[in-house]
Amino acid sequence: MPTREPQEIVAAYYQALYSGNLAEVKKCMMQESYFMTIESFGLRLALKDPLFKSQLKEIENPETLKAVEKKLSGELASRRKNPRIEITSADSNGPGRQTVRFKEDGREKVLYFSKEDEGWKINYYAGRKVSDTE
Amino acid sequence: MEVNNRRNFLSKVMMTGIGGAALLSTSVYAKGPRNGSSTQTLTEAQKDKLFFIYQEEKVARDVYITLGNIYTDENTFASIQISEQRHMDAARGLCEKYGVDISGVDESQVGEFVLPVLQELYDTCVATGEESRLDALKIGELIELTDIDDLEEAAKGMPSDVVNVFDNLKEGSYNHLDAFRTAISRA
Repeated sequence: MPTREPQEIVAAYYQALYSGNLAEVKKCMMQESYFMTIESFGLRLALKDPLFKSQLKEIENPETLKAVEKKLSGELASRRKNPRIEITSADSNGPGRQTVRFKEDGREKVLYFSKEDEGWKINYYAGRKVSDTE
Repeated sequence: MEVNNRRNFLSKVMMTGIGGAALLSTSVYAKGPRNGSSTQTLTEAQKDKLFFIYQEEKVARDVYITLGNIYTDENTFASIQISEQRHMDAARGLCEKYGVDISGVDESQVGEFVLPVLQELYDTCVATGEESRLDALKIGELIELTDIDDLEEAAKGMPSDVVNVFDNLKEGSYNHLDAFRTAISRA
């Protein structure tokens, strides 16, 4: 499978997220960032569904994660969102790091990337600029 | 960075409840040493985390500003948002001290977050708080509970100066929590 560039991953991430394809979202992200995404996008459902909220606390458990992903997948798809994504730039943040700037329905957004196993992945902790000598 | 070190506003939101008690004792994240190293250096991973914490602090401030603008007769939001700005100032100060470049973050745009994951968190908190004044106060309580745990976790392994800053912020959060609970009991 050819390695995708960060800007390609941004589009794939949004398409997967709002179609409820969390398996694809997971492929785009570092595990820690994926969990944070699940928690953030799951908050809306958690505030209305006590069982989901309790499951969301236990997503390190693979079985619970599957249950969370199933429910959240349906909720995300039901939002019927299809934001327009326009990539504006992709810049190096240092060795093995990139920041992709883009517009989501006209609003300026960024996603940070780092390399894992030679492939780029979304990593919320890779936003800090690191000099090439570090 | 280890997954088990993940401890931030996002995860803390799920460790607490809107009006519920913290469930930290059952969390894998709750485990780990609490040691304020006296070494005045940060690892690269700690610097990365500090930069994210700085961005994350803006969520609480902006939620309070927005809810305060909706419930203009609820003084709790107005008084606490000033304090939340100090939280941001403190996080920014630490970034500056440790050479973490924060030029990519714009503090001035309330409710605007460049990271989609933080935008979603803000939007959900505000949408819930918009439903009623009581819901808004409970969102405040939720944020403070999560912030306290956040700061506890973020302090682990950090140098003493960072730990001291976080401890001061935590004291502030306890005061905010009391204020929200008092307001909830009145509502």
